[in-house]
Amino acid sequence: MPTPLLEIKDLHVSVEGTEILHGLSLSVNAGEVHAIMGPNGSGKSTLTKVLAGHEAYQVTSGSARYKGKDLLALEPEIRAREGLFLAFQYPLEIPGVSNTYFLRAALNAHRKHRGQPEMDAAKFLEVLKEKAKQVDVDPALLNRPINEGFSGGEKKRNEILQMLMLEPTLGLLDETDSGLDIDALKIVAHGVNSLRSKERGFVVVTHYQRLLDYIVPDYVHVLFQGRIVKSGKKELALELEKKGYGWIEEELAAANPGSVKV
Amino acid sequence: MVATETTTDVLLAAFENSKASAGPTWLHVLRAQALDAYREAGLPNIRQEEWRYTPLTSITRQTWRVAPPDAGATLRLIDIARLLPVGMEAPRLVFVNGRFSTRLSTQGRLAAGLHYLSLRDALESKGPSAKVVQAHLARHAEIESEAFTALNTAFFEDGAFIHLERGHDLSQPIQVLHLNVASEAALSQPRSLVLLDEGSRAKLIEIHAGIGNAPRLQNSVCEIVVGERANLSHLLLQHEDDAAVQINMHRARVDKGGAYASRVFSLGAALTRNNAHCVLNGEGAEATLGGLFLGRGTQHLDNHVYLEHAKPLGTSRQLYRGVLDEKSRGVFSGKVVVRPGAQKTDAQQQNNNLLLSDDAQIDTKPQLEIYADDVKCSHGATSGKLNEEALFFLRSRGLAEREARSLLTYAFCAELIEAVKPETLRDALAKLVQARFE
Repeated sequence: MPTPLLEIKDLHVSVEGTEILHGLSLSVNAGEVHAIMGPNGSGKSTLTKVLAGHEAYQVTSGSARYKGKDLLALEPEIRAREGLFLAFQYPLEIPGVSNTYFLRAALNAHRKHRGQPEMDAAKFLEVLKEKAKQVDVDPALLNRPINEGFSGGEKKRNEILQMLMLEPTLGLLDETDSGLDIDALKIVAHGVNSLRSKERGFVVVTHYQRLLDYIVPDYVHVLFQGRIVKSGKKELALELEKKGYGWIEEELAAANPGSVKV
Repeated sequence: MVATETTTDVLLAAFENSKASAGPTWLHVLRAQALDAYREAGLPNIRQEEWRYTPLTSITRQTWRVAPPDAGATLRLIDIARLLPVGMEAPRLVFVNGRFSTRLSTQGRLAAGLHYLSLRDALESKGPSAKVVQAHLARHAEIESEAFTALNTAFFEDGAFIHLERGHDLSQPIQVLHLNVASEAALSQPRSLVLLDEGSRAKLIEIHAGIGNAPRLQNSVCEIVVGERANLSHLLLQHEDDAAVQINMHRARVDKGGAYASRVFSLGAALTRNNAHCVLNGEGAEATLGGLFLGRGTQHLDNHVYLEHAKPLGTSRQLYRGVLDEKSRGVFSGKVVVRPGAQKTDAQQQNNNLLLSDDAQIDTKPQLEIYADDVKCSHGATSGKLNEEALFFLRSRGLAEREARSLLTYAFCAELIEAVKPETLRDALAKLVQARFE
């Protein structure tokens, strides 16, 4: 067995003293796409934030290893340079910081980390334009401050553009489909699919099965009350779409009386 | 206040021995009145509302002398080149310790209609400039209510005289550098006049800088008149450090249809008090006042803005931003006064502050006084820390924490910098400010 790309074991995570993840375990191999579904408040965003290293999310016990290394010991920027990427659910507007400037600084930080020379401005712009085209982002937008004056869909596509530029090994997509119309959804999915390879893995967090028509997962997990309570192949997503989450609660209650707060 | 008594006496003696004491009778009378006013008032103190947040201990704890005439004699062009944001190409008047340096200045090929020389040369000139000085000097800045202006008026030696005649448009910015250099505690008191006649346009870059470790106190006064439909863009760059104490008064009058834009970039000093006093004196006059003040260590940066809408249809915009690190302290006090009859005034005032440490402090006091009933006025102030979510976002893309902080801090300043023209000046400022946050 090769070392999994990401291996989470019994992870407990608290936010401001309240435990959100109650012992989550998940293993993602290179080349795989895992979808994580679950009702609101089940801990989906907490999982992606804690993996990316947000300080507000505190790991109280358990472990997360990335490429065999202790992920939780790394600063967020080191995680990023090691190839972990989080596409945010709610991309921020950052006045005063231009997209182009910031993205080139980020890319060059990655390159430096890998011992590669900096990419010069001309080459960078050439690559950026090409990738922007791929996710249908108007290059004129990129001279603006990050996400300032972007529509909801543009913000999401901008996240994917950043991912295309940084070419991560492990992509975490936090409800990247929310608020997207079907055309934008296809563009985003196409962007993600273009990165799929046997070296890379993805964890796709979503509410809706719809996204998974376009980014077809290898595995689907149901996150419920801070744990993964059910895992299956892509067909599980269709079943959830049809039947909702109620049947999972019932199954859990039957298997483990008293463990589920309804 | 023993120290200040001493300072006044020392200054008086130094002044009587200097060439500056020569001059026309009207100026002697004016100086005597100013000295009386200063002696009457004394230095301001924190019991006065306008000085409540700005103690003057860095001034009162020592005796100040005027710098000896040879201070700065060894300065070379290369020493001042780095202080000039648009470089040596643009014409410049250079004042060392408040005295004109012919050697370091270059008036260039003077544009038509431009009088660009030292105030003393203007006073001594045979041409019309002497009369123009008499008509304006101390006619705008007040000696009764402002002790520092009184002190400056009593003792100033020299300063810039800039007079652009009617209808002339300067394509090139002009520079005025006030450089303070001394081997022991020294006071300089530059006094300037900037006069734009009807329909003329100019860009002025004023730089305050110091060299050396000896304490430097600069008490400057600059009177500005923007005539009817004239347009002055004025940038003040304060390139100082912990040895400097700066008290500056910029007193502007904007006539009918005229526009005055002032942007102050304060990169830090032990104490800086910038007084901007602007009166929109004619219908449809405009003022855009703004500033960026960056403090660190135990620096104290105080911006006091008084903006008066005296006539109808005026527009004013104010944006001041402070970035305070370590134990530095900032003060913003902005008062907009709309006089009775100044209808259709449109005034906005904003002050935002970024506190980079728990020990940094800002006192902000935006005020509106409105005596007209058909006006549109707004004001506001904010203070806060760097946005933690933005910081996390940048780090999650691979930027080091330090770099992310620096980028966001610069971003807070960017709006004020982006508005600067020409591009060469904007880029020079951007570099200076970026360097501060690296």
